[in-house]
Amino acid sequence: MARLDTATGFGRYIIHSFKVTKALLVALLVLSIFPGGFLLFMPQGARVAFSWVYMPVMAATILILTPFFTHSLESLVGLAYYRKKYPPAPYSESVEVNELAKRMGIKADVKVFETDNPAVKSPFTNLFYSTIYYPRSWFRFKGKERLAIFGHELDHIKDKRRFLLEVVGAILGTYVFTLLLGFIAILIVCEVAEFCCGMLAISYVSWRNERRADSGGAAAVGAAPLISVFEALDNESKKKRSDGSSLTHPPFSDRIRRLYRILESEPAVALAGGE
Amino acid sequence: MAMKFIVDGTAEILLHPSRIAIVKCLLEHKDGLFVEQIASKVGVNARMVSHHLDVLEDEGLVKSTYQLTKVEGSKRGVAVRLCVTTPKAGLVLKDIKESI
Repeated sequence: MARLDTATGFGRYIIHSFKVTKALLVALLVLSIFPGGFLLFMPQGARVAFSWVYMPVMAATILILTPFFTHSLESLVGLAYYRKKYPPAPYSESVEVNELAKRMGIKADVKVFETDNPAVKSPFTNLFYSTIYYPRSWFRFKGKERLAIFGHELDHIKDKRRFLLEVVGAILGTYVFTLLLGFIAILIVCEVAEFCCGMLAISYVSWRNERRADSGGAAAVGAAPLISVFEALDNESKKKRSDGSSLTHPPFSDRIRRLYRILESEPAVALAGGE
Repeated sequence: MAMKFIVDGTAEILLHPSRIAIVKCLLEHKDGLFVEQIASKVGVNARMVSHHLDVLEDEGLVKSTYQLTKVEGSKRGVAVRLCVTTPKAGLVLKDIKESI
């Protein structure tokens, strides 16, 4: 559920939606393959025309990705910097979380920590150590809703899907385009294509992982509490002119829509007038 | 204490768009409404209404009772969850309005 807050700095003037970034990355990737891949064989006029299209798209992509990378860096530095000042403490209701982990079929011993670290803006999971960090600012979600958030995080641990994310990113970002375009393309075009493809692949796999974690969490705790949490977060992110989407997370509206489908397929209501 | 419910976090729970609509709807219907009625009036899925009512009841903003009621097309009564707001809900809403 970890999410980077991109509504500060000059980024606050942009409507934060990864859809725009995605469109730019796709455009840059397509341009890099064709005609970019054949840049050396083009007549001089065509090469100039290509650069007039290519450079603005590249500049726009760099501009839109800058807040993302600066905030990623800020989060990483912040995590390390504030770690001593705000050390993570064991989560007080971890028995409940461990019971949920057992119910979800997780064999690993899951450790849950709560923290005041300002760099931890939302819950996140360290898959390699099976630990979950939960910011105290998220204690506003109580009972079933908080358990649904843990359900989502636990589903990340369940199959260690993030490993696939790293593998896909590494393979696609490093080798595929070097082999396909490396012989004919000039270095910059080739590197840009690799970068775009890597970003898009990571986004695709990560979005899929998040959707799976939502389904897994909903199967364990029920879809309603998670929908409620996302509706609250969606409401908060709208105030920051964001739809909640990022490189790693799909927009809230999409996640809510999918969870409603799960909600509809859940067992029938116990009472005619409501549950 | 003024803004008591803002400080203790109760207002934050009510500030969910669906929950505030549910509470406002219940405040308009003092006799109470059951889940399906609230869902159709507010335009929120009945199961979500049920979840929000659980949260609001835990916080002491809504009180619900189960009772049998006559429904068209049914010879026997139908069990419903009848919900009414508590005085605390009005106070929390007042706090929110003042803070705005």
